[in-house]
Amino acid sequence: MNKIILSLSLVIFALSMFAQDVPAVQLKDLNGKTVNTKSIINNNGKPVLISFFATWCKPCIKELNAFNENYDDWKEETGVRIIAISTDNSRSSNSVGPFVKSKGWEFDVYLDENGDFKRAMNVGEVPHTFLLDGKGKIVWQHKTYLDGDENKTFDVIKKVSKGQPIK
Amino acid sequence: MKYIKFAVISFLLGMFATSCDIIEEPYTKEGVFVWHGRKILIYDFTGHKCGNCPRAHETINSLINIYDEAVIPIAIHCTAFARVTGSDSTQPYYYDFRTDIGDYLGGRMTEPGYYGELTLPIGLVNNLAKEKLLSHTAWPTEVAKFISSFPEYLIEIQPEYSNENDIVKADIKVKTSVTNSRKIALTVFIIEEHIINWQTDYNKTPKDIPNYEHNHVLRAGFNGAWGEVIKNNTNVTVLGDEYTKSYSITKGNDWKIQNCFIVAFVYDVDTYEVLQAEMIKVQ
Amino acid sequence: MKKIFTLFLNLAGLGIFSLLAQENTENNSGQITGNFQTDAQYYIEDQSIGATAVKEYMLVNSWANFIYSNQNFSAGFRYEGYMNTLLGYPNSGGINDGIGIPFRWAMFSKDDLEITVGNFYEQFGNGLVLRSYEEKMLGIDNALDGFRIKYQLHKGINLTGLIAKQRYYWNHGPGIIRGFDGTIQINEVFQSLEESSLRLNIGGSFVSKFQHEDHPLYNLPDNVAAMSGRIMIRYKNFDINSEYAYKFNDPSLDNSYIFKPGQALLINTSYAKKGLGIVLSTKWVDNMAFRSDRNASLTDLNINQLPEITKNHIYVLPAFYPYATQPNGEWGAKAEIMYKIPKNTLLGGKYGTNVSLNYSRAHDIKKTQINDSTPVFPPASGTYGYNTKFFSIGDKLYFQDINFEISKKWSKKILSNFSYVYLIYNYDVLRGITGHGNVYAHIGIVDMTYKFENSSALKTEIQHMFTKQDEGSWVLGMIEYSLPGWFFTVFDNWNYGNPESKKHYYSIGFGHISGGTRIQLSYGKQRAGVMCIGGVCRNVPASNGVFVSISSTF
Repeated sequence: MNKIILSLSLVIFALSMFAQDVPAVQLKDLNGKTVNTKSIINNNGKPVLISFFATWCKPCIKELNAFNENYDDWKEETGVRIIAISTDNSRSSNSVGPFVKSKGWEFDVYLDENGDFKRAMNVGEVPHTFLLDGKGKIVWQHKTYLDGDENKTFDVIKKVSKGQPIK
Repeated sequence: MKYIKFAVISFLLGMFATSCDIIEEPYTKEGVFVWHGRKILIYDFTGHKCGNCPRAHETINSLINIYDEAVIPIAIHCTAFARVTGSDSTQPYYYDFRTDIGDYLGGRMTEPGYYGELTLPIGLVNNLAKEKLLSHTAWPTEVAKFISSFPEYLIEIQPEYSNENDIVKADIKVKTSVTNSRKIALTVFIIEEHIINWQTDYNKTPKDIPNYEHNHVLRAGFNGAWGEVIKNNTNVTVLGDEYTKSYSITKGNDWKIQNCFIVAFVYDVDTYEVLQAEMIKVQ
Repeated sequence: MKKIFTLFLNLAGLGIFSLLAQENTENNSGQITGNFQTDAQYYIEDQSIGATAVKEYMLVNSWANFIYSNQNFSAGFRYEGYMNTLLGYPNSGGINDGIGIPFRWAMFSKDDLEITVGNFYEQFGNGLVLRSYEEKMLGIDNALDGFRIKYQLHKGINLTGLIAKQRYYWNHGPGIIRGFDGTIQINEVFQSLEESSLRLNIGGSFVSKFQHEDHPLYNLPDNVAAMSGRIMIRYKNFDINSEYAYKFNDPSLDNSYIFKPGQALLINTSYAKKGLGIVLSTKWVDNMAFRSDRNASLTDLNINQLPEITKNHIYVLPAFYPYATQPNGEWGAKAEIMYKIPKNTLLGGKYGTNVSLNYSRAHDIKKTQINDSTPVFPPASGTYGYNTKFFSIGDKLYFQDINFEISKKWSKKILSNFSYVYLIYNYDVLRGITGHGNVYAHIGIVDMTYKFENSSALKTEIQHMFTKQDEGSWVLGMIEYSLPGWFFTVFDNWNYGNPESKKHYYSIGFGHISGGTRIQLSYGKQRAGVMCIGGVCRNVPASNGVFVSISSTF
């Protein structure tokens, strides 16, 4: 058992030392077209914010509403691109398009119906947000949403867009 | 690369070609079987408030229709489904079918028993291992697997009942019919047929049946839930070796002795397989 | 097993360090990622709500995922430990208790080919004939274990083939599953149509399971096939998405061993433009339970998943009475309108107001006798079962839900959400019992959030449910205070309408979040009920105790 713990801590320690790539997984866009995650995270050297959500998840909607309200300002200041990944299964995946349109969200939304991308990104519960730097490396992440969290998120985006360290 | 593509496409098409068996009427078949005397034990974990449990009882009845005395079912009332409403016999579900052995094996109220937190109906067919718990629809196939094999042991039960002191006695003789080196245990239960009392049945409207016929109800054990080890695997038994055991218990007040049967079975202590079972009327 | 695990970890550790040594050469640095979660509950006996203590005092569910990836290759495993399983999770006979690595896989992808060996999840279309997935909070994991090949034949044409057995707790189910799926995205295939406002996707699936049984009574089919066809048409703002599935004779515990084939149809249509979304859906299901063991029950060994189309309620009180698909026969329909009243209008205010109206209904289907001597109910095992006309709708109501929701932001500081829900819940059918009758429930919810300057916030929820059936009326109050990285909640759910005893279910808790890590601790009472995620439900027993949850993504 001790060996396991030792090895485990070794692994986790080693992991925390370098930034991760986004895995290549097939998603669907709201037009039903299959797209690869690698192709949607390109933002010409500017940061990308990926947010996992579900239409039935209240904090997720609050978070994305908050992002949406600030999106124009954030884009202008940092060039950030926001991508929302719906984890709705086939019960509600067909309503994601109308839902997103009715909310007036400006960012791109993709469907991850059977949770392939969610699993590849090791997301347990939604909401879960990742920030990618200009090279497409995951440099920051945040679980859950508490009201006001968007301020912190924006601070981090600003730092990343300027190439500053996060902490 | 071309070959890989070809291989891939043929693999995918192969999946497609995998066909399907379409069964034409008749869907049922005659229960024909070869029998060499092996009897099959079934534990039917049940409860009088379990509305789906009559489905399992129906399965047992259909098995008795085919195999007759070759199947020996034991209905073990347990879990919260066996709870009673009180002792007032004018109320439904007043009658307590539970036994110490049932509570120990299947759990009492919300307390899980030896077999854990059971979802009723569930049962065991000729094997007492936890991993062998099966839903009732799987029992017939399981019975069919064992029914035509030769019994490794034969069991003779000599019952005796005395009206005076209400003592039920059972003299058991286990005879070896196939040489083996198993470690075996002998378990002896008493069960009762034709108990008329309440039962929930979700297939009936209203669901509460006051005069349901409860059969093969476990009443008590002569030597505990797991019986007694009668032979260790250190010694080989050869054909003809015999083991005799004598047990007795006191009859419960509410048992109708004329409907009571003694069930004895031997099982392999290491694999939990039931090797032979026998049942005989007390009187 | 443990040895292998330690070895794996050591190798992993070693691998990472060797990678770190060459951190600058980015091209070949593989990476390891993962997450873990552990949920623990300490149980206290509380007879007033029917909560029990456990012999272990405390039960713990935990798991951790590890994924290694390097360019075209990736591999991973999940370590799970249930010591012992939390109450309410599927665990008949202690079958779920234990520790081990039930999930491990390797995947290779190059160009238009992707090969997976080991465990994987897969969904064909809407899942009517095949959906393998996991839902940890419900204890569901019907992962496939075998081989899968995905191949892009041409741009816009994707094929998937698989052969696998299904996970059954720490073992495999008895059946072998073979599946094939093809999708064609017309607009991708023909370059000239790439920019067309008419978009068309078609697809088809074929799934066959093999399970041999020498049944003494019935001639059972060893191979049971199911197939489906689907189409998606989108023209500008309109969208139609439909799938039809057919399953050949499949006598099982679910359908009481009848030999009738099964069918299902799902149609979703929608219209969406900025600020408005309209969804109309219908479905019809007959005898479509499909499992890799014909004797399996509850949430075990499902090959397919028939999606609900009713709204997935997340607020506590309306979630008391959730709907679940009835695979033995059901018709359902839904209409939903979502509208954003524009900014700077009378009702829209400064930020706009979101309103939504949702109506759904489910009925049984019409079943007729195959002959005079065979009843439709109870089902007659070993017969064809019954006859039914396609898309027939019966008189028996299973479920109805009317709900209306308004979300409004009053100012930068104040957000609110108001809901009204009216449910009719056929308790007997949906809980699989009889003699309980329908539950009629009116629910009102007020959810307010006040944001302070310093990124902290106060959130309150008041919910009221009025019903004369089941346990009677409830009122719930919740206050949550949060500041960056922390939250504190107090909660009471009062069953004041219960004729037997008016019970309080209170709970207090707090949590800390830091990046990808969350720690949550709470103490309180939980009502016995049904918990559902995505339409699949499990019974949750009443409990009283301390709950701790730690999760982290790394």
